[in-house]
Amino acid sequence: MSAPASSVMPPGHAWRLEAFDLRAGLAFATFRSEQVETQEIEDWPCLFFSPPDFAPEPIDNVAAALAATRGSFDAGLIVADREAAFKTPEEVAEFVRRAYVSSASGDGSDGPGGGGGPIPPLPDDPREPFFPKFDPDEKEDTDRPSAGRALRHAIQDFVRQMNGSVPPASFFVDWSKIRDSDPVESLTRGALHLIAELLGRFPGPSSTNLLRWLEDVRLLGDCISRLGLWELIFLRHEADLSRLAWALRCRAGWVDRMCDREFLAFLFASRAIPDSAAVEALHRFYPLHLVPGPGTNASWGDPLEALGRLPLPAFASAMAPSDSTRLASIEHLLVGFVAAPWALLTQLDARASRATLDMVVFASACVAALDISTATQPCFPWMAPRVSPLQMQLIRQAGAKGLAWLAEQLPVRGFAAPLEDRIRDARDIRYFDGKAS
Amino acid sequence: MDLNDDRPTAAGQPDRTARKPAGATWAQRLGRLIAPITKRSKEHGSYALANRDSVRRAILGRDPFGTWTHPTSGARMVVNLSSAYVPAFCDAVQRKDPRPYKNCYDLARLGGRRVSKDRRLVDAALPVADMTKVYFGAVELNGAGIRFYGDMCLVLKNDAVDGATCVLDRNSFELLRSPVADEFADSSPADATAARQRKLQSWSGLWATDLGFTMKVLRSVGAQDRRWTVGQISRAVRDDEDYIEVLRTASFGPADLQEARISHTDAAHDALVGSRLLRGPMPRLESLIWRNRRSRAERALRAAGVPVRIVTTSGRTRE
Repeated sequence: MSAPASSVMPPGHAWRLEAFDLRAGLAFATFRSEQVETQEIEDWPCLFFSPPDFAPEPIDNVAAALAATRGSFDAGLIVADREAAFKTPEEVAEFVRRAYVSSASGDGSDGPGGGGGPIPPLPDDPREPFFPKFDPDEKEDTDRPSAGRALRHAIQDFVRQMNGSVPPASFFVDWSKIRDSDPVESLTRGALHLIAELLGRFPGPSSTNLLRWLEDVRLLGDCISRLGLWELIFLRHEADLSRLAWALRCRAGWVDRMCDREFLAFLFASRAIPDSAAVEALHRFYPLHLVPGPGTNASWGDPLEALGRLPLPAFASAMAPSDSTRLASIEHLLVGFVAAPWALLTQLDARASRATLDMVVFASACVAALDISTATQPCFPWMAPRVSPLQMQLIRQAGAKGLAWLAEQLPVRGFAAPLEDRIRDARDIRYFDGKAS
Repeated sequence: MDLNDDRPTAAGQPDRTARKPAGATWAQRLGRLIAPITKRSKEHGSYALANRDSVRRAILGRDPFGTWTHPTSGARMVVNLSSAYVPAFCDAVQRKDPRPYKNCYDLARLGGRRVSKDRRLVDAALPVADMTKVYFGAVELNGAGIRFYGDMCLVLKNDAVDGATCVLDRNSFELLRSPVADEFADSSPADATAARQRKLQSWSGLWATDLGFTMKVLRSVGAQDRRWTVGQISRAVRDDEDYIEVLRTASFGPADLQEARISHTDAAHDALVGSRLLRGPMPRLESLIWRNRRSRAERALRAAGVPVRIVTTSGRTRE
């Protein structure tokens, strides 16, 4: 259903949200003139939108929309003192869809629902923000810019259009250029940021959270392994990895006879449990990756749940709602970014935004490029790492799959800034300490 | 069959001290609907009476012969809630929240939500003492509730609904739609308010004594020379967004739930997303979010002791 042709469209009529719940992704839209307060409803054309498809569905009874406001639905979307207007049902669907996705970056804050979330940071976490030692302005292949740079340029273009729009205008967004960009650097750096964050959240050798932390570490190790990234990470960032390994070994106080690489292999790619005497004995006689143990517990039935266990570094915490920064995860980052990519540039400084984009590229590859139907052996570089051209091709393919999927999820349409703010603010909707939709 | 049968119903003991709505009881009104049918055709009238008894038995959760009552069958108050909110609803007990399920007034207090003038108008006409303490639901026999309001249908236990709970034979917002709204169009505000109150009073009944005599099924299915099935009755009781409204005057929590129901179409869609994850093409992010939330919701409900069931047969109960 669409609005009548413009030649017969009553003046001031547009699609307006009669009743909506952005976190639930449910909305009734009616085609009518602006009404901030009303006493009489008419039999306006009415459409209903719901997840996961957000396909418009004609509704005969507007009373059903009004009754919805007795629960979690809001009545009327007021933006800058005016009732928001949408020219077409497609615009309504896009707004509701993006707000629904945005709201997921606050999931877990008002009830865990059985999902664990990432391991929390230590209360007195003394760490400085970790950034890998590489030159962020190093020369790039101009024929094929990096994924991070391509995303940054596309977002800057989005922000320009957003700031130049006045409600009820909307604009189409083109993300096609990121599909042709080079994902390799973003994949390795994104993985490195997550390695650093997880190692930094080591809860202590006698903590009750130790096994859970180890499961999450091995989940990340499995992701990196399946993407074929370990050799490349060692090749390009071995100094950073050694730095991180050494910091953790000092805190852990066990397995101190291992070299850094063996220590990281034990953490990320083995199944051994962290009993120092047993591991030391095993170290003398067995390759660690063959040692049986509890194994990883990757939640591969649901990639979002898996990403929900990987913690978001503090430098990117502005991408998460303020009441959930301690439990913010890569899942929260991914959904928040997809819903409102412009927020990354406005809320983070240049260095943090580059690093965050790398993590987004890594997360996208984890969702779209991992073959989760089969178990795999961890693929860890036991000797001097080497990356053949064929291996590099496989990594690029995985990254490209992730970027293609990401480009498909990013906004089809953008809106003027006040509506974009409402999309971003959907992440703050709660059920027990709710904020207005 | 005695229309004034006072035997205990599945919805609790009938409360003779409860305030009865003004005007005829639903049993009397149903009788008045059937009378002209009988006058036109004795055969159709006989079927109408027999079908009336079938409706009552279905509402009360009794077997077709009326000899026993199944503890989990019969009409229930249901409330649909989005799976996004179910973990918070279940977690409310841990937070010692006295109102796990929240109405718009609870959310308005907590978060500054706007309460529309439309709703205040209708709520002011409701036959209840304090409209801010009303938690709305619908009557459901075997289905998964009103999907427009959420994908998880929370089914309250039989004894969690007081027998004196007010029910309306339609959505109270019909007050604002033609042709009902036309009746007050030219009235003064004070007269219109009084007229709305009288209208809602005429639609209202009590859970224990009136629900079994709902006229909705006869009006929906119509007078026939055939016996109605439980499926027909179930579909008529709650048909799309045409429902019998329940005005409960207290919140409820997981302990008040008999079960949670999910529709078979949603369950199938959920499974398809899971299948696409394994075989491709990769589902969209909103599909993954939707599926993830439903999984979290089910885990939270089961941890709270609430079974989750897929409604697989339209309008029919499984013993």
